[in-house]
Amino acid sequence: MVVKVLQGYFIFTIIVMVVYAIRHFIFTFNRLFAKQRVSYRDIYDTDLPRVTVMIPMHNEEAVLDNVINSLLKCDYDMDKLEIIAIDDHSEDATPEILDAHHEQNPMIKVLHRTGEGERGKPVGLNDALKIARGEVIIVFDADYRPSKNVIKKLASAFRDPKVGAVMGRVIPINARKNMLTVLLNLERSGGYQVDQQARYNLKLLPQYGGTVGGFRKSIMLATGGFDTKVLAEDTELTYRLYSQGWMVVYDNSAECYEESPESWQVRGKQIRRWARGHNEVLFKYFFKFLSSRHIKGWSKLDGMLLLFVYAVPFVLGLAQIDCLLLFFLGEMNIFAGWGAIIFLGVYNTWGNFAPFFEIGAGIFLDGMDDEIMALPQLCFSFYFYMWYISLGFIDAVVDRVTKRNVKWAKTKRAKDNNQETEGVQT
Amino acid sequence: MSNIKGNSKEKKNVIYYSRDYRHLDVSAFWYIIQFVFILIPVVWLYLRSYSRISYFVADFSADMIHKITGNTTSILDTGYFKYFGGVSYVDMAGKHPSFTLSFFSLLISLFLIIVFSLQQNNRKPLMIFITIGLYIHACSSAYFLVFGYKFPYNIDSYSVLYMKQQIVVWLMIMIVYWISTSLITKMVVYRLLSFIALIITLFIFGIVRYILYMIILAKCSYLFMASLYFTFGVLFDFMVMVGVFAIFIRQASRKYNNKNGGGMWKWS
Repeated sequence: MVVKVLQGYFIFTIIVMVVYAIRHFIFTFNRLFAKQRVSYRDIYDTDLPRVTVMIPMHNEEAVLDNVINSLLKCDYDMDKLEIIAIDDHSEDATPEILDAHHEQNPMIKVLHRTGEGERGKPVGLNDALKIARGEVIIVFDADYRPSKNVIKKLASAFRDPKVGAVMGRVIPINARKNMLTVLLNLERSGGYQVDQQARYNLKLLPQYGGTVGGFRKSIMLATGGFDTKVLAEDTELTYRLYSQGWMVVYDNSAECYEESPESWQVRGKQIRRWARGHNEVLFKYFFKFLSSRHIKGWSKLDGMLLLFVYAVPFVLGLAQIDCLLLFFLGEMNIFAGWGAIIFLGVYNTWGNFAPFFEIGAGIFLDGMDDEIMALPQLCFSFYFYMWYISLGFIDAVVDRVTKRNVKWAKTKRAKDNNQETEGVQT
Repeated sequence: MSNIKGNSKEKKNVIYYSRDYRHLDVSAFWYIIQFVFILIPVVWLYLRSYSRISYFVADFSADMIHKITGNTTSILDTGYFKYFGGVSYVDMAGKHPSFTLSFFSLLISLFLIIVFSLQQNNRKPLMIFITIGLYIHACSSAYFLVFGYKFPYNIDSYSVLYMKQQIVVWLMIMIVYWISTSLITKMVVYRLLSFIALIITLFIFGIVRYILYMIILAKCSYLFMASLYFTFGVLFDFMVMVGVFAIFIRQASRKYNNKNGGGMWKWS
């Protein structure tokens, strides 16, 4: 009986891996060969909406000038643009620097959050929503550098009344700093250039990513603002919108540059937090999304696969233990057949969430020649992600069972290390 | 178009064509032709030949193992896929680990796990991979300490499994590599060369590893069987494939992304 259960789990894992592999093959081939779905470029010159850019910050003195100066140079109509810098309990010079910016440019508003109140990105955004004048809200993290035309590109999508949120493309600015940043650059390329764009092409579910993206203020106000109990407020918003019949669109040309983590420890904590947040959304939206009448067919299937994507490494981790048990129980022959090889083949070609061919396609399209030589190292990253994402999954299960409150933890940046500072946000 | 990210140190390569929405101008006809007239015949040929290939591998390996260890080796056959024939494999005497070896092996594995967990950089991918490997070896050691007499395999069963698995791994890699590189249909010769280079590399790698693993099992005992299978198994075959794929894509990218590569792209 035990052996049957273990074998059944093994076969279940094979099926899961094959399904995800097929999904990624379809995305890759679609992105490479099919006609691409362009975002709303043709309505650039029409009357664009009033936009509020929100920048959540905690101890960002080292980087905040970059994001604000980049935004001030953008080509959006300044009469329709408002910037709200959310200073969330900063303990460094962030408040003073922001106040100085406000004095120079009254269009930059500063929301100082102090005292004993709740902290974190969703709470800060909810507070800022109350004073925002724009009908469209666009969010950037403090260490990002928006390109000159990114606001216009993102905002133009909202002229389509079906659009609830829009997502732009994130590109690491420190791509060649060390091996980790090289690998993250590869993952980003596969994730945005191929995965997000293909999902948009195929009218599936592009994802709002919480930064370099925007949403309608009216929807957020009508649905109670961001859920402050969920760590992945971006994924939560994505599923909230789809479940209510709104569209999320992806604009591959709306580029913004980020400083990606430069140490494995920081990356590990970041991915664990993402996994925790994403799985909280899985538990919250599994039945809601499944029963939503607004999403049908392939979109629903893809949405479910996306919802489970941060649970899969945990499933694979268990599969490793499962295989080991089968081995010592004398069932080694199960590994010798076709099924096992398909499992192993797919499993070993798995990167983070993009297999090697998807990342290769992204790099090829981006024209990055030398970085691709780091691709084989992603095989070891697989174990790294399996470990940290599994921990995040367990965190989410414990959150669910114990109903404990989650706390925000900011991704520590390289500049933070130089200045020995810490913070509370992402 | 010069595309510069951030300061001057963060320059990216020159991109002659916008990357946002370009896609490949590919002919479905050529794609199908290459699939039908190259991949399918190669796969068919391989399936018809794997019995002979496995015999060659077993014969060569048996000879080498005998020369290196002096052990008596023999070549046996076993059935595999019904329509394509069986596989040959090396048989020889293996040995169970002694209690002392299992005990010290467990101690050393646990000691290394503790040492690695105390390291500051213990959460890097390679360290996690090694730690998982150590856990597997510790499990194997503990198993032999307690249930050693019940261990359900011998060197013969490992040898059969290795050969069967290697036959299908080679096949799988041929298919996955061909499909993965099919995004570049206009570099047929280069693609074929990389394909052949991959197969030859993996073939040599597979034989060397077979010889090495059989010697380990014969000389150092079955204690290492789980580690050889789970930690140092087919992951490395796939790493070789991804490495060759990376070289191929780099060459293709250089060809497609210079100023002469314009005709290969389409824009939406």
